[in-house]
Amino acid sequence: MREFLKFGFKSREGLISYLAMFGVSLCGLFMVHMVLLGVLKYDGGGSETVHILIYEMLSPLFAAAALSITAGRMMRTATNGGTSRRSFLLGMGLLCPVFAVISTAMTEIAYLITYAIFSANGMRLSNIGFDYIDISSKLLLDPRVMTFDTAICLSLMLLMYTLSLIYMGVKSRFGGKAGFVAAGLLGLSYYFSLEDYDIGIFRKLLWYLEESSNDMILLFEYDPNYPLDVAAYTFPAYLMMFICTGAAFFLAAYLIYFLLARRAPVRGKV
Amino acid sequence: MSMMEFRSVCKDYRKKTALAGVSFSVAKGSIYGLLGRNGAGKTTLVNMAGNRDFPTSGEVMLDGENVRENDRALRRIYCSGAEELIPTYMRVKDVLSSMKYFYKDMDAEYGLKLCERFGLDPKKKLSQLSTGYRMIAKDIFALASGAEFIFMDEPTLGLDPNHRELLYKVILERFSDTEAAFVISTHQIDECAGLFERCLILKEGRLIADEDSDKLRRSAYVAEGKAADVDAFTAGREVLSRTAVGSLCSACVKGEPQNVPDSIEISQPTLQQLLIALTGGGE
Repeated sequence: MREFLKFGFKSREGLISYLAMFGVSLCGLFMVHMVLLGVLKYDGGGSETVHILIYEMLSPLFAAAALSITAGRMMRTATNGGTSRRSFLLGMGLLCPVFAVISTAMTEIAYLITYAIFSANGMRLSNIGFDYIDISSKLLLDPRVMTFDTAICLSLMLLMYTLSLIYMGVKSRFGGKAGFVAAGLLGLSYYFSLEDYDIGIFRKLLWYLEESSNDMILLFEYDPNYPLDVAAYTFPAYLMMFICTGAAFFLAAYLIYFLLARRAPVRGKV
Repeated sequence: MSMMEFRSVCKDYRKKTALAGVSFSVAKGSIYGLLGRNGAGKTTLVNMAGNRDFPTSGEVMLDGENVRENDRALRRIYCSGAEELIPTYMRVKDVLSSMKYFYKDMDAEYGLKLCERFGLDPKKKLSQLSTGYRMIAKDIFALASGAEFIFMDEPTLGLDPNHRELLYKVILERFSDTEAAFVISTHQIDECAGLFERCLILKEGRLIADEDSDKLRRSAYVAEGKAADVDAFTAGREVLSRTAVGSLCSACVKGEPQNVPDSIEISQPTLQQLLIALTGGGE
């Protein structure tokens, strides 16, 4: 597995290839923001906060697509190089979270750059952590708010990776079309779970998001009535809650991927 | 001496049995010809050797270790074939570099030298290469891998005669330098016959011959003459194949020629003739 990890982190076919693909998609999202900025300026947009969550919602999807492509190529190259499925799959289990962390950091950097450009034009760009509630816009760049937003972004990244893992696992056994259908169904189920229903784990998660965001505001704006010992506990607890939720979904999908791909033949085009 | 053993390897697909209990061994320091008709199970066998696919039953061993999911054993084996496992957006030189991660004896310098000999631009992406050159690139990856057991499935697919001759020469050179075991699956049988020390012949998933090449060729003979004379001569003998053209007839017969009448001409079959005879004639 050591050789595979070296290959994954150092070779052009591993992390570099993933970052190149993801970087290009982030550049695309940045351009979309710039176009939107132009439109808002043309419409005489004022100094209000702009509630668009393109980076947070779309970059995990692009990251998932980049992961599928990179992992597919890595699997065939590594198998051609005498790597067992076990080493590949265990290696991917370690590579994926690292990829997710790097992708999240890149997304946040892209957000900050875009935020700076919006600010220079008299507007503020909201982020997901505080999009649900009315927050004083000066808090958007508070490091704690940014950390909170990063945790949610990482959680979403891991959640979207589950689509890739299910796609790759089903593809390895039943072909590409079946993989697309399985990932599509999973994506749809996520979408409907996020819809405004009062049931389901995602609804619960959104509720937590709103609640925790409210708590955060009280915490960050130093509400004199907010108990300080609770405040000290709340921030890391909420961070952990989001990261662990994403990680739990990721691990479940990874297990399915592992079991499906473990004994699947590796084939290339003829 | 390092040795790979295929022990009763079976592979069943839903509607077809690709391999039905194939057993043989491959020793380091020999070149093997893996021969058989289309669909005989050659590629499946190569895939089993490289852990790309798993046998339904049976096992592939390398020096007593099962190669299945065994990185240490798999790093001593290299399999190349028509399937595009290496991403085609990669440049030839990049493939040579990336192989270093997996094969500790990988000789990228040698690979680049081979590129020069074959007239292959290593800066080109695999997708930019013609069918023949892409095959040459795969052959170069196999030869430069430094693996002890090299399986080459159809290494001459799409190669022109000049390149084929050069490839045979290079395989022999590499063989004498490294003493790796080469298992070459090909349909260019007569061209490659000089390379093979031993032949493995597959027919419908079964191994029907595992013999020294010369011994295999000497195990049969070709009797030619007028059809009536050939039929009379071969009566009671084991005829592997019979081809009639007009009034003339040619029969490949198993065994040693004895009591040959003047009307019959005896010759030694080529490896290709013998394979055709053993695997069901030319029909």
